[in-house]
Amino acid sequence: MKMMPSCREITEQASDYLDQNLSPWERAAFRMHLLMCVYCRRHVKHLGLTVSTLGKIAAEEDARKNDDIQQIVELIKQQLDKPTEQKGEECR
Amino acid sequence: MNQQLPSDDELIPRLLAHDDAAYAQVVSAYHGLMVHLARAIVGPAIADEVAQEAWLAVLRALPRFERRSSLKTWILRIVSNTAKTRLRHESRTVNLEDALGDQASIDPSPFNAAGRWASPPAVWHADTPDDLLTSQELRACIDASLSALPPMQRAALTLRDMQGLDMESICKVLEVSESNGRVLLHRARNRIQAAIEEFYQR
Ligand SMILES: [Zn+2]
Repeated sequence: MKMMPSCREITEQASDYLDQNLSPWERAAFRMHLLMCVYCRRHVKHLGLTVSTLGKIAAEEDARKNDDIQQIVELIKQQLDKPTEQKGEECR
Repeated sequence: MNQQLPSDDELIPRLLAHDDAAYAQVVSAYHGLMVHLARAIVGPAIADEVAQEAWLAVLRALPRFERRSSLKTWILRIVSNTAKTRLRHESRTVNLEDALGDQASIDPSPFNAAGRWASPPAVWHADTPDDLLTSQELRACIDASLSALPPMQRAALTLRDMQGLDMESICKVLEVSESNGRVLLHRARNRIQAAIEEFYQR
């Protein structure tokens, strides 16, 4: 039987909690702590908001940029046709 | 336009046959992601160059690709390795662990000796990402804290929270264990959260 996690431990587990990566016991203890601790509730809410804000920033960036695919393909093909020192790239 | 990408089984033989349409399809599907990953590791100045270099490595190595992961994961691992190699060259004087990894956690600790909050989190006057991002100043704080992350943390954060890859693929791409990948992600998220927190505590 594990004791209730401290606030510090909650902040250490919060990322795994959001990603559903805690064991059922850890998750239960985590939620129990949140029920009783307004600051940790706030911390976890803020972490979730941080993560979704990063997603929003990425979506905005991708909406702006407009790569010229054909131009990139041409560049790659030109380079590829050049005789070259075969670089050893592992193929796992 | 991102049409449905054909399966690896269909795509790989066509790439090996130098099919132009297949080239265009993989570039269209993966180039943006490759630049994001390269930028996370080496920074914006040479990210495009690293992505280009990685494409050449991909197409040259493709005949020897053993299909132990998806094409996408394999391509991204080549980007990651190309970028890490560049980073080693660029920062010859710096210890590689410092350049890639992480040293300190957030200080000073907001907790007392018993592990309870000593300086509790501030109330953020925001409930959604849109609320947060209305402040230009806060947006600049977030961008600055992203730029200040150690490269491997930024790579994990970019792939997970900004590009939506699953953790298993990310660990294969970055060549870290599952638990190390989680630590990188956790620390990166905490740093961005701390930057926003600092903004609201002012
Ligand atoms: Zn607490």
